[in-house]
Amino acid sequence: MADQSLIRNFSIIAHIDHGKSTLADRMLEITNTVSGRDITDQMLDTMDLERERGITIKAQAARVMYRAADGRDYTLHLIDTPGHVDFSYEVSRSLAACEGALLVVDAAQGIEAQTLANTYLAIDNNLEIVPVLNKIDLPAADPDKVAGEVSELFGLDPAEVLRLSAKTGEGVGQVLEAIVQRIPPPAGDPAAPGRALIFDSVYDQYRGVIAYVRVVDGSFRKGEEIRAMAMGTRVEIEEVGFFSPDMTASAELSAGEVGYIITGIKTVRDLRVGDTLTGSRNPAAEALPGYREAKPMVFCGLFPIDGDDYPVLRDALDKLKLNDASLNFEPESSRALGFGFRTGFLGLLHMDIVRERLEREYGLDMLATVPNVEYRLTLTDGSEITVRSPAEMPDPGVIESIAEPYVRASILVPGDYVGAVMEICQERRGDFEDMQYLSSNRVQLHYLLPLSEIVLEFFDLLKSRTRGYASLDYEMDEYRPSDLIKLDVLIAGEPVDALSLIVHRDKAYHQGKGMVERLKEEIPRQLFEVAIQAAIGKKIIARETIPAKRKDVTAKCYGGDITRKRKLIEKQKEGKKRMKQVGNVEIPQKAFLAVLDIDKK
Amino acid sequence: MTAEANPETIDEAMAIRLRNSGVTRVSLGAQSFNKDMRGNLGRSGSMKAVAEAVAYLRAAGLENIGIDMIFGIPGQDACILRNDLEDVLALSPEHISYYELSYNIRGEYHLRWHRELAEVRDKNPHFYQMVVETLEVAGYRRYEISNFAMPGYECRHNISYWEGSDFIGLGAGAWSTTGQTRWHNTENIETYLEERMDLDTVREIEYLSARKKLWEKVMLGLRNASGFPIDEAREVVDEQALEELGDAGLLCVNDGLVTLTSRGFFLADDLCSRILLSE
Repeated sequence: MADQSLIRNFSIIAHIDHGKSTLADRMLEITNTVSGRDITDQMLDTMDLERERGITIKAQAARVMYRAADGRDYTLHLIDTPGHVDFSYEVSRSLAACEGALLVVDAAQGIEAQTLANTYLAIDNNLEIVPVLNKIDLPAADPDKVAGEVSELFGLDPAEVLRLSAKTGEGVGQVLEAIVQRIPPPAGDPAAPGRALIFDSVYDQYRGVIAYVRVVDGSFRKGEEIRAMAMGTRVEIEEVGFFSPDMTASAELSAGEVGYIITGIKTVRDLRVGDTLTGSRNPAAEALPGYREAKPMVFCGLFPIDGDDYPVLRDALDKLKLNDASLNFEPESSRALGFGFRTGFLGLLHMDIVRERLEREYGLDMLATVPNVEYRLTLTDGSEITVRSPAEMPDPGVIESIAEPYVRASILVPGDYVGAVMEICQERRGDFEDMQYLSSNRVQLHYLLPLSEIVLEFFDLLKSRTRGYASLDYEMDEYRPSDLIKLDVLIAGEPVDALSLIVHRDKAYHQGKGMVERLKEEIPRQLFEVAIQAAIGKKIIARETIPAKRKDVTAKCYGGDITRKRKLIEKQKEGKKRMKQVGNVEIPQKAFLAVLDIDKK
Repeated sequence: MTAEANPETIDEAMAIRLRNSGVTRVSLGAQSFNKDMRGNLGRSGSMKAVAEAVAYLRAAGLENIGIDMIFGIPGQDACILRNDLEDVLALSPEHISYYELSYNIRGEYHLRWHRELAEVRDKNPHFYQMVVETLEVAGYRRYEISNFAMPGYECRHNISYWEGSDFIGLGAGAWSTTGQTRWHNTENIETYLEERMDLDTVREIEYLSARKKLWEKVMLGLRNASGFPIDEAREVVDEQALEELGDAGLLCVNDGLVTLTSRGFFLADDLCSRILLSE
């Protein structure tokens, strides 16, 4: 059994690009966990997508053996957490598996909204915070100023703020010492009935679900039957082991340790993040606190461009679901787009990732509709329903009231851009809560904003109007009643369901006008004149006309031109196939996302 | 027999020589009578050369003269086009080819005249309409998208391309089609001269299946006033599209022949891609 006093469990909190993964790599290297030769940049981010985007999507873990200055050998478990607001629940579970956290801040840029939010989350989980300034080798670094900011924010002594360059390796040794000295050892009961927290679970095609766990009490070994306390799943352990950083089997996992459990289960839904594992024979009385089911917040329709791909899309979603407990979908049919799936996601990044994986890993050519949130409606007969797409919206006559989800957003921005941020938040129906100066030129603003306003390119807008300086974090708040209506778009007199939107009444005119203008730009001229109209109920509120195409003919076609000409026409045919035919009008895919660009101009 | 010529190269002696060697038709590349437009096309030679060439050819007894013109030239406006049309009609050629300027997208010419070409592109539908109306009023018949002739003076050589007849092209870069084979010769004239000895000048041989030939027949037929016979073409034609486009007034089916209407001619490429099924 492992001696808990020689174990330290910690995670790293950092903003994108502040050097979390580089620091992790450096620690693996210094402790000879992996040899320099085997280091690919950013060892811990294994998915292609993660490496490309420089972000961590799934949690990762590594076990590092470290001989400290006191001459004793310590086992350090590093849990690398996802760094995005969509995955804040996963972050909270990763943090709950640790006793301490390294807070990594770029010495030039200072702390960002996401980092701030995650650090508070860590403090809420009683983690010891070890603040670290990275990139001190950069010419723009201002470690004294940033150290002042960090220590003031979290009530720490500026002298406790470590300084390093993960790139050059300078100061990394100090960090390892600080982990041993400042972070407390685990304090579970090795003799109590086994309890382990699942902080991530991944599906492997050959081995089934691999649960990433932190053992709190007792121990787990191969062959033992275990139970997931929230889901009720019962299964026999096939293998336990550590991440060093590749999976390495061991005889047991005992209190205080971080490792993996393989069970042969086929879907991550049965072993969910946040659930507690316990032995079936001598089960714990109580699960570890904090389990909740991840709920989708953002929805969009996914439609194959080629209707024949529908079964391929269904199979692909089924497969992704094996490894993604928070992805859910149900069949949806659209008059304009045919058969597809209404798909729910944790947030926009999650949606992007799923879409990109469907395209890359399954070769699917897809059309994703504009994202929307889940509305709660009270009808005139007193019943309540939820609506996840504009098409599901009932007739206004039967609606008593509509409520929509709000978020509490925290925005960090240099003082010069406060005005710009306030303007955006007002445009997006935000309610100002408060504002505080973190340092002389860094301001934190809190707003209550409808989630529906955030899903429509809010972040891009925020970035572009603050020259990229603003950072954003948000947490779900409650549902609030709003004066919402359905805005329809008619093309050549036909309502196109996939273009309908749910909007606030005060913004309907602006949105409707913007929509028809954008659509006029996106839809190419047809053989006849096409009217594009925005309507609320039967009332037309905006209209644009696309004039008929006047000329499309090549002048010359002699002996040498015939083959080329034939290929040209084939290409033209292909181009038409990639458009969606709605009535007589061919609509390019991009047009279905027209609403996203309305505010960009 | 037709000879193609640059107007500057035709003098009295050349005109007589052409007639004596059996040439019955001469096609002259005029492009434009406007000095600036000729400059923008990179053409030299004076405007007078065309009129003189026509006079020499007529004096030599040649009764079938064609003139090639271009519209859509960078910097062209309706007034310049109007003058060009008047100038070409004043010469009373039996045949006029009036092409829209073509160039390689993102090629050197496109880059050099990028802005002007974009401007004139918006005017081209109107210009094409001016060309068609003016020439038809003057008694010419549009027998193909860009070709106009007095009755009986249609270019038989061109028509044979469009009917899918066999043809042999000689020289560097020349295309040929016989039966189910289409090929072209190497484009470089020096290579051509070397390889000619070994009968090794052919590049890119294409096999034309019966379906492909039929497909092309429809494609080419649509560009011609003669149209295509529907009964022979059913297997490559989307008949529902045909019906819809007929209802929209873009084509008509008459005595088994499908022909484009006047408006349909403006949209021939688009219509082609709707009417034809996949290769």
